[in-house]
Amino acid sequence: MKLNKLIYSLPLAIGLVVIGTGCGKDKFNINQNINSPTDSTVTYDVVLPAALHATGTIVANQWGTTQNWMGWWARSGTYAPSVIEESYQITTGFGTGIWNNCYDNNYDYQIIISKAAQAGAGFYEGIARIMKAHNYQMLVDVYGNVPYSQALKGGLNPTPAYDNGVDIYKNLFRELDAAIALIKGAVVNATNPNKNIATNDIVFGGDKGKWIRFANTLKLRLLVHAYAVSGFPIAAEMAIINTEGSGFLGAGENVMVQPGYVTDKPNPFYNNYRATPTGTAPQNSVYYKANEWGIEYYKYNADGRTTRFYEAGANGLVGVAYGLPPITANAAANLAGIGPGLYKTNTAPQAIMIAAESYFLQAEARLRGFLTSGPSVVDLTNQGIQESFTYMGVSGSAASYISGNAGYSDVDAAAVANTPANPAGTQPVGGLFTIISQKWFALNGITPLEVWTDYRRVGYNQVVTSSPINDRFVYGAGVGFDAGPPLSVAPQNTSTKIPVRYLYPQTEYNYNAANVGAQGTVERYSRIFWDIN
Amino acid sequence: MFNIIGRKGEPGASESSSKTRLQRFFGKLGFNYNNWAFAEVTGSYDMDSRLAYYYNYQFNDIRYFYPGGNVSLILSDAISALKGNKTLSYLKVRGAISKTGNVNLGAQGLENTYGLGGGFPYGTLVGYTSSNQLRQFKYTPEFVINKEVGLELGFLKNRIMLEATAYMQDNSDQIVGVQYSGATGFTSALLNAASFVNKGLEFDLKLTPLVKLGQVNIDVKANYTYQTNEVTKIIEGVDELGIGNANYVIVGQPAYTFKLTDYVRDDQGRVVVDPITGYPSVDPVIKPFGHTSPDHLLGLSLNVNWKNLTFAAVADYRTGNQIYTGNWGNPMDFSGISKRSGQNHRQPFIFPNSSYWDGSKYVANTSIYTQNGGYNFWSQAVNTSANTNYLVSGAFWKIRELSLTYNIPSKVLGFTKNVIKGATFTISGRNLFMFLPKTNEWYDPEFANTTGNAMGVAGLDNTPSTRIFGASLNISL
Repeated sequence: MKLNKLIYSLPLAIGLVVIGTGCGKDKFNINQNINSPTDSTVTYDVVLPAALHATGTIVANQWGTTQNWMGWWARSGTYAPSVIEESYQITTGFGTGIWNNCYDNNYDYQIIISKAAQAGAGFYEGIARIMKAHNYQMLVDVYGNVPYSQALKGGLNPTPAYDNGVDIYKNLFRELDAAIALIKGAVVNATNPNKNIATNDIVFGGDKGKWIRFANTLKLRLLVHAYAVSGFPIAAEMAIINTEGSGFLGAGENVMVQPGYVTDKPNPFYNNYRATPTGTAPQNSVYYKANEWGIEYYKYNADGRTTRFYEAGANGLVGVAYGLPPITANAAANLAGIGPGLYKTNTAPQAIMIAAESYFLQAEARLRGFLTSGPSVVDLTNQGIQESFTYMGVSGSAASYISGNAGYSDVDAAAVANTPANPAGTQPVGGLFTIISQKWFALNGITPLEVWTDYRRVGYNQVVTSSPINDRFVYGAGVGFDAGPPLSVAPQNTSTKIPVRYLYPQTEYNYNAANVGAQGTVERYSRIFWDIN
Repeated sequence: MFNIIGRKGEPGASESSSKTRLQRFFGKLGFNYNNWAFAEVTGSYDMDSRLAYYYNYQFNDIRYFYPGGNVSLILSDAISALKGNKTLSYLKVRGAISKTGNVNLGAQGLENTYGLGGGFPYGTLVGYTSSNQLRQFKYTPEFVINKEVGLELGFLKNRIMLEATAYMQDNSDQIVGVQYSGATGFTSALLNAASFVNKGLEFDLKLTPLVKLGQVNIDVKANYTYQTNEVTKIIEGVDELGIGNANYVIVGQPAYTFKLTDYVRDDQGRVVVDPITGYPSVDPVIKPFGHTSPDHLLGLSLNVNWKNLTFAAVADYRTGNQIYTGNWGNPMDFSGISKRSGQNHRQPFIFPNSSYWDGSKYVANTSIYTQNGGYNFWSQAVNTSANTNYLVSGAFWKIRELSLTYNIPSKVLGFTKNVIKGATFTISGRNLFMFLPKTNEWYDPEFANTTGNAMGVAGLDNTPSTRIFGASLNISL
């Protein structure tokens, strides 16, 4: 071999020797995140305000379909029909925002819970547990069985299994118990881990009593939903609430989020349904207009809230039938729109739950017999109506509305059979019918999910024993008005029933296939566990 | 007047800073024996701060080594029997094996981050919310082991040159964004999640000139690639992951494979329709359908030269892959401007290749018309939520460029010829023609809504590639 022709370039091993000495190893340790908080650096107190605001946004903005199905709103003739919604042929791609937003929000609450627990910030932890329970209640009421015990674990469990809705409900009581104990025991001063709770708690400003009453009211909501489920520990849970003793949300105790909404960063409902920060009308303010049946029902009772829930359009306080194909007469500008009692102002706080609902829940619990003391069913119902009037900004009391509809059981909780309003005695009497009807009148645009839940869980045969078996609630017909909520009149609609749930999102079928598959075939009429009519 | 002083709304403010440090020791040793045998070995040793987890820093986590080597032999020079051979004028064999490492991460990428919540800060109140992409404390670099062997042949004084290469690329631990169930608290996770093997054959043929007829020279160049790939491993215990855009990584399948929703079908593959409405229904359980990278790629170029005139053409062909056109097809079906939504004149029709359940068995459907054949069919979920309606072949032929060049002879330049050394005049057209299979009524298969891994899907906002006509005059002084 002619080795003189062997040419070599750079030797290979020079560098390797240098490194072994260890000099400068630490100069590579520069990967700390200096732009954003991370799992290592984030603290519970900066996450809480954003999480509470996000919950408010979910309650404000995810329920257009529910508003339409329950007969309050309808699509204006300015928009092409959303046939999926208006024919009730929902798909796995429909309404997935509730799923994603609730879990996303709950992850933030989970972070607060673990960070606050490490730091001993019981007040923060308690609030996060209450809000997490609130979101799981919504998830179960919309989807039934959902991931719970294995959820929110990030990469530790990328495919969380589903828990039964009833088991989730039962566990939420324990979550709320823990939350109440933590809040009760929390010491707040200027230096301890609970400091600044008054600023960062943008719901109650650090008011322990209100948080505990909210937790109890959530428990009552769960109990009222599940009262008829065989074996559900109603009495035992009620005993825990009574022993705790703080009671439920009272007069004026609305659960409202207020981070400090300003014109440029407005209230989420206002931003979505009224006007954007630049003053333009958002799409939803043109899309959603008064439902003909709904607005007429308020007017039928000469309800002072009519002009608070609705705002007259060019043709006055008129609505449109849900699902009606677009024609000029139904153009958005002609129809009544979402009213000032709902959108309020751009800087108003955002509701999560209102005091009126607390009274209606107490009234139903009293009527069902598991709330055994305190005001009567009639008093509680009337108080709920008054709270709704106050919340909606109706001047004056609800008394004239109640007396003006005396004998009519959708308003008068004391209405009895065989009166001039109900001569044959075949119509529903006051009590349950009043409570469920008044929740329809009061929670429009605020917490419509609760009304959809009522519609699904309270069969009409529970209020009118002579009625043929009807597993869904019927509004209006019992007092001489048209039966509702009305079905979509869309020509393509062949369904005769409103769906009783949402389908699991397509992302579950894609990325958590085995677990969602274990739920079997889920269709729009598959019932939630408390739906036993 | 436009001035931000008169803006509507509140301007945002943000800042971000980052620093990364990459240090590489690189060594190369090359050998050359008598100008016919060549060999080279290389080695790289990297230290990359992007792999450092600040709170538990381990130097071992951030360093990695990757070597390489290649050999080539020009046999036509080495073997005396081949020297001066007129038929086989050039013969070279080569082989290479190399490993390369890459850190496909940004700075500060090893922890879950928290961003400002909606609208925050409100006054002095700050609020942070967890990001939706899960990160890990530790990532390994992506490694690719590339093995290839090649053969280069020249015939007839190198008028015919053929180059053939066979390669195998073993990609391990590729860092990809994996889609998650929202119930985890995240919608995706960045993981060292994909290992796959690419194999292929490449042929490159040059005929220069192919034909020489007097003063006419015709050159032809062609290259052809056959490529396949297969996912070999994901992460422990997982054999399928979605990376978004309907793209999936499935062990044993090509990377990446589409998984899509389809109609409910009977055992013979016919679409099952409702005996009353005539409508099909969609099965939410997604199934694999085709892959996103082409199997066969062919490139052709032609050059014809006569005296001072040159004509050139470049064309491309690809096939074997699928594209998903739903982002485009859905709104077109919704608004009724797609071809398929008009194919039955918007009248009720019998769903093609369909069957229905007659109570005991599936019967071919020859009589049940869809209840509606217009807006209420085509724009609705019964049509648009079956993804497979929008899965079409990604094959295409493209005439990329045609050009005609005239070399202006110096004699016509007259008295200027002392100043001007040469002048050429060219007219050309680019992106002139595209030929697509009949099924693809949608768009250019090369469109994509991402530059990431999840290919084969275009958005609504792609503009068609521009057809460019040009004329140019080049003067050299």
